[in-house]
Amino acid sequence: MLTFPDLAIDLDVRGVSKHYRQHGKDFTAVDDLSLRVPKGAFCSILGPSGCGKTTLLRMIAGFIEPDAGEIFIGGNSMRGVPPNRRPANMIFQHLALFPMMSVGENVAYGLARRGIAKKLIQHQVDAMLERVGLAGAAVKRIDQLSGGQKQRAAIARSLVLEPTLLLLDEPLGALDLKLREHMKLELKQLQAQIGTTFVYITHDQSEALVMSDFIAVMNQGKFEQTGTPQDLYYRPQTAFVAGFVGNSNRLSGRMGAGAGSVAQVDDGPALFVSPQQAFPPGRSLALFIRPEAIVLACPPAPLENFANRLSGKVLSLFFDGANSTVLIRLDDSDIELHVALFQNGFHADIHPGDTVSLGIAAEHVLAFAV
Amino acid sequence: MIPSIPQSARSRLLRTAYLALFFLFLLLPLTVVVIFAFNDAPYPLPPWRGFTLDWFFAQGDRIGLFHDEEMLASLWQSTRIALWVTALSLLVGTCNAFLLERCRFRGQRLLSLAMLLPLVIPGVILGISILAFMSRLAQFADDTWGVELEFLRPGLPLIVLGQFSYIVSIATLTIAARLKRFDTALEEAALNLGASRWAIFRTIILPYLRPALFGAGAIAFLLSFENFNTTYMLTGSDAPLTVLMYGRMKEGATPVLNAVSLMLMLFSALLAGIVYRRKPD
Amino acid sequence: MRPANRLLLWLLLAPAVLWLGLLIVLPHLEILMLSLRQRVAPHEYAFSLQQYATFFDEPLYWHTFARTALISLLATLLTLLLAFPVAWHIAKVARGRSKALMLALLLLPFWASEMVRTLGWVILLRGSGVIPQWLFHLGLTAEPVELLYNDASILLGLVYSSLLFMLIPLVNALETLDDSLVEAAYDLGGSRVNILRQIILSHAAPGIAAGSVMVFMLTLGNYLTPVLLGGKNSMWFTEQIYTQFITRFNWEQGAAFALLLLVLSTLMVWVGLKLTGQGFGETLRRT
Ligand SMILES: Nc1ncnc2c1ncn2[C@@H]1O[C@H](COP(=O)(O)OP(=O)(O)O)[C@@H](O)[C@H]1O
Ligand SMILES: [Mg+2]
Repeated sequence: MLTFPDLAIDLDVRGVSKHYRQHGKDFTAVDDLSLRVPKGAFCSILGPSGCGKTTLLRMIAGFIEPDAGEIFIGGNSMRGVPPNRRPANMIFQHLALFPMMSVGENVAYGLARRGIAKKLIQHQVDAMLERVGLAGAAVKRIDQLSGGQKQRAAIARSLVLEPTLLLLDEPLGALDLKLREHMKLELKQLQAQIGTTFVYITHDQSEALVMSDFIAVMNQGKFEQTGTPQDLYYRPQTAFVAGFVGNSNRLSGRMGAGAGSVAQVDDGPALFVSPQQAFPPGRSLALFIRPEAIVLACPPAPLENFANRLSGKVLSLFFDGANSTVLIRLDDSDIELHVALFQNGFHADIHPGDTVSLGIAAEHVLAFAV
Repeated sequence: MIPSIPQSARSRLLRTAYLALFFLFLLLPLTVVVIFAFNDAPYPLPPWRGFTLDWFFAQGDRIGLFHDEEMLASLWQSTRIALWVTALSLLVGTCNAFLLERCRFRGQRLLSLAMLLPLVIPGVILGISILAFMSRLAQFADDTWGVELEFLRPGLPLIVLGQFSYIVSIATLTIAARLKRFDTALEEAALNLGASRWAIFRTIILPYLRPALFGAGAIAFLLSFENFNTTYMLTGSDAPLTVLMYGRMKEGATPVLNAVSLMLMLFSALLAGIVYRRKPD
Repeated sequence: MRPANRLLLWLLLAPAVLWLGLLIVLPHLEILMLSLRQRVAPHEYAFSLQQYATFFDEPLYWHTFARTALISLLATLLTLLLAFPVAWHIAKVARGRSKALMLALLLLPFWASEMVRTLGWVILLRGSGVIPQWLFHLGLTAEPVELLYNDASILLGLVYSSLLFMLIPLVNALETLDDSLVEAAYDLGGSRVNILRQIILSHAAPGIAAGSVMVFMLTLGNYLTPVLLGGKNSMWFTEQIYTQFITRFNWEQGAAFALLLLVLSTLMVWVGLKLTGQGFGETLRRT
């Protein structure tokens, strides 16, 4: 758990749980979760679908009552406060823009509900639309907007109310890949510029890594790890996080008997592993090695600086520009490893069938008990 | 068969001929009604004696539609009935739609089936059963309290109730079908933006239902205007249009009937046009 | 449920209960009660099955009843036969503009009232009307013949009035039939008759059931068309009900007739749906 001693806390979730009955059995969707989000932060909750992210977000928004625990927004308890009185606004998964209203009417909706004078509303709406890059779009119908513009309109509709907290439920999920890449950057910039606290839900680790100040990784209703993107990527605390955040080669093995941190990969070589954590001999382990942490030599050459030195044969090449990888089968075993190419200075001049040497530093082989 | 499957020229010809005959059959009666509205003869029958607008505008020996007091009065009567039926059907139909789509209670499925029931009861039976029941109520009121409840006797209120009793089923179906497709995320979004329940109904749900309300309203108006079976059983002294036309047709039709028919068709086409043009959204 | 929701539920239930209770259920109970009593003295009534006995004793009544049922059945069948090819053409062959035009043409007569349609047929079929005059002038008949006031003219009018209620469900059902199913059957060597029976009719069965049930009910309960096109010979059962109720003021007898008609209608609808294996609710919603 991260602590933010000198910052105001905008969202404070304390021991919140939610149970559902499914097929007559009690099912815990959200399990005693706690989370503190400081003012102005971009916080992501990252987890596979079905892990309870939406349930948590809807409890913060007030659409679902928690079974246990309490939620504070801006320091005030939200117990018994209906969703239309909470200082948190939500961007829905499919945006939920009102199709029967123009863009301007959509953005004005919340202000009008507060009974603000028409002239003032007009002014604020125009200013907000300009801020999200939709100046002059007020009179357009919703179906005249492109996917990205709809996104911005939905954000404008919430931000114009100046909420303490903006909740976003996988808002980029419905966009095509190109636009998603673009909107990632745009959302991040927008958040930095307006400074509203964002709580962003996603199952896409790259979205979370790019945008967030910190991330809570969620699995089966619980948080596995909370930290900055770099923490999660370089210092995962659990096997789940190591596997879910970024790409990794996952091997299984057990702890060796000898001195030092050596693990025996099942049906494969013995590897020196990161000495972060000590395991008793014989303990079964999950080992994670990132594709870019493996150094290649082709033609084969001794890689003396590496604790782990292996050799293998190129099975196939996956060319994808800067993200190109090769799949290598280790000699004398069935173990296959993905290795990043760009990192290694090779581009496309490596071919299936080539024999290669591989070097992996011990601290890049992460071991977790399973 | 579908176009992608080969077909002999003869069977293609046969089908085209059939379709042509079918549409001729469909349109022939309406065409003669329109044509004989302009025939310069006292009966809407051949031979053709030349074009005249007498049956619309004449005011002497012949009385045209626009000077036929009785006809105009019945038109007004029908309009009043149709307006009442439309308003009531939309109001109750909307309530029913919410009841069926938004509430959960015991016996809901049964109720939703019961709401379809009026559609399978012959109109004549709807009419006489309401007539008989309301007479009993009126009789009861007279016997017990000595008050004469005039509105329970044949006349405009009973006609309205009789027509309403089955037209509201159709309105319910139309409105409920649209409400079913409503995305509840819109409602949550509005709630999230600070709207009260009532504001959500007024600003989100009602505008969303508007096309269905328009459609159901137009259909209700038209069905009411055209209804004969139920109306005939419940008519008092002021005959609405269909009942008056029926009476005149039995006496021997004059081209005024054709003239009023033409006006009805034009009006229906107008309503239909409005409804179908709104369909796309 | 919160009290506010409870209250709202009751508020929404009230109109539905008033409508179904006061305009449907109680009136039909009233009809049932009326049909089961007999006047024994002025203002004095006793329980009796006399009304139903009269119906079976008097050939005119049950003949009319049976005749109404039969002609309605015949009209339903004819409507189905006439409408099916047209529905097929609209659903599967016609495209774009011509399809829209055909649909509009179909709807046209039904946006005009039944009274107008019937007036049209009277002008066409009367002895002095359009068709007999033509036949006479063309020398096909020695003198203008009366084409109105017979069973054929009643049937014609009923079929005409029913076409739309058959066509719409048929078109809807056929539109959901995937063309490639027909193509696959043809490709696998199915004959036209076989394809029609095994693929098309079985797919369209719900639409056929919905249309037939609707048409049968509407025909059975029709009053205007048989009376105006059949004249004195119409012998339609709804006319009997009207006569008993309004002309003779014999409500007990009229109520018994009404109930009999209702039972027949319900029975036929039920049998029709059972035969094709359709549910009542979904069938009605389809139309
Ligand atoms: N209303 C509900 N009733 C029963 N189970 C539910 C309900 N809503 C969600 N769930 C279950 O709770 C789990 C978490 O759902 P959700 O919060 O939507 O996950 P996520 O948004 O992370 O994909 C899922 O397994 C889902 O099936
Ligand atoms: Mg979700």
